[in-house]
Amino acid sequence: MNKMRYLRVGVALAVLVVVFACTFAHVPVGTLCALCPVGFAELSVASGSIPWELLPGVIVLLGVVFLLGRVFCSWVCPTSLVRNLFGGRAPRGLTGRTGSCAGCAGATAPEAAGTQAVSAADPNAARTRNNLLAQGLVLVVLLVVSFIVHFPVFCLFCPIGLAFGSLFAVSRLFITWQPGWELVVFPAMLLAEALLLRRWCSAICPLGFFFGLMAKLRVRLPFLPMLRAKRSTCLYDSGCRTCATVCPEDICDATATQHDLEDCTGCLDCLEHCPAKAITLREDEPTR
Amino acid sequence: MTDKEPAVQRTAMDRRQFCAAGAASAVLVAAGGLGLWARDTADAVYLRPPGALDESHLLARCDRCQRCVQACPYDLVQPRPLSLDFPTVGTPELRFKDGYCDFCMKCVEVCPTGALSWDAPTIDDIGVAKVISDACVAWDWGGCTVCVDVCPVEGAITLDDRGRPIVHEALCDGCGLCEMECPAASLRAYDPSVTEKGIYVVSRQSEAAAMTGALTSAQLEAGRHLRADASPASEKGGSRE
Repeated sequence: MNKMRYLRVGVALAVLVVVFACTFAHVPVGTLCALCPVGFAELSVASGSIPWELLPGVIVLLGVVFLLGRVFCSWVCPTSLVRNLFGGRAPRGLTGRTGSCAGCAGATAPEAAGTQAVSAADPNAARTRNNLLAQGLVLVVLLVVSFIVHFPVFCLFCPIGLAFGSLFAVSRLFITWQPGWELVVFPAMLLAEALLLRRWCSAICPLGFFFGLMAKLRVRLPFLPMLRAKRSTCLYDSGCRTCATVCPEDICDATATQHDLEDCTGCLDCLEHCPAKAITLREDEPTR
Repeated sequence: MTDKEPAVQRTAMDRRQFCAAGAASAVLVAAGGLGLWARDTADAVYLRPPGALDESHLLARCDRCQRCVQACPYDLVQPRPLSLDFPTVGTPELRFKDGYCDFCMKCVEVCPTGALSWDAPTIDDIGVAKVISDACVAWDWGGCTVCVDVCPVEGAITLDDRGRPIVHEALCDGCGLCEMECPAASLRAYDPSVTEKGIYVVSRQSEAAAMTGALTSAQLEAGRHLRADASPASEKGGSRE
């Protein structure tokens, strides 16, 4: 039960712990900020010249998202970490899920879904989607503001920056023994953004804009694997909506189109919970 | 639920998402404006690692990736804490608490953005030490020569005819060894109006650096602003070009 969720919490915590350990071991790995495409764009407009040395790291991060999908969002991002830790039984995903799949009429409990009456609804039809335009709007505004004020503005709010900021506030406390307000303010902002702002990921996060673009590109390439249900064993026709019910993005792997799979963050909850073990990483597209 | 038109639902959701995006944009604009106001109000110059050109360049160029903080073998480079001057939070600042700078240049080597660069005049000249006349023990009692004894630059700190330390600004490179070793705090009764150490390294772009001779604690505090005539190219270490 919830094996994948604990695994995701473990991976995200491990990233933070490694950075923290490197601080005390004086290994200059830096934070994830050194790989950030938004930071790269912000610094370019704020300082008026392009920081070329950041580009390889940015390309690596975007390359990982391109090859593996938006795994960064569910496995590394502190927003997901906070939601997985404090988000209750069914933590929200990118698109602001509140614990029930809008399209899963009749399928109330994931475990019981396979045996229940046939449900006609296709969960993918009623899904909330990642909104690239809204994220793009935030990105444009933020770049204009950064250009005018000459400092990276979003870094003050970024959950990733806040998580690492909290970490470095603690390390600074241990080194200089001078506690600062950031010890309280940064974790509070991070918790507020992750738990109170439902639409943070799908409508605000400018990093999500870059990742969304990569995912859009990725699902159009036939040779990259995606999570799909095998038609031979899938219980969709018997009314099973387990994958959509456990999916933080409400994606049903049986009927998902390319457009739906753009929002897949590779959290692997569907793989864990599928009662028929019908879900696999495949390249071909099932037709239903 | 099932007979609802999905397209209608999606546009309603889209509208809410655009509202969220609009609100976030407004917050970013407000944060930008507040940040400018905070910078102007604080008007502060901090002691930055070697290779920092000036405050505005560092603020625009620093990625807050903390690599310089991790690289520093002596834990001198520390992220700036959250203060009213909030745009500077997380940018690197020097704290000579348990160490001093030996110009190992590891912070400059690892900086991925050029916020710390080899071309800046501060590359071999972090700042300048200032004796604090009301905190320095030698100033009123005499006898203490710790800063003169530890200073690694020959002639940068000398004693005047009354045994008080004098910093020769042209020679001082701001390594911070004197600040780190100064025993003033342990030799004086605690007084909140007097600084802890009898000697402090300040940025050459600060008003304090422009004042000649020893400063009082109050002058040091008041001198943390940017000098009106501060331009990185006019500092010791010559022109950048």
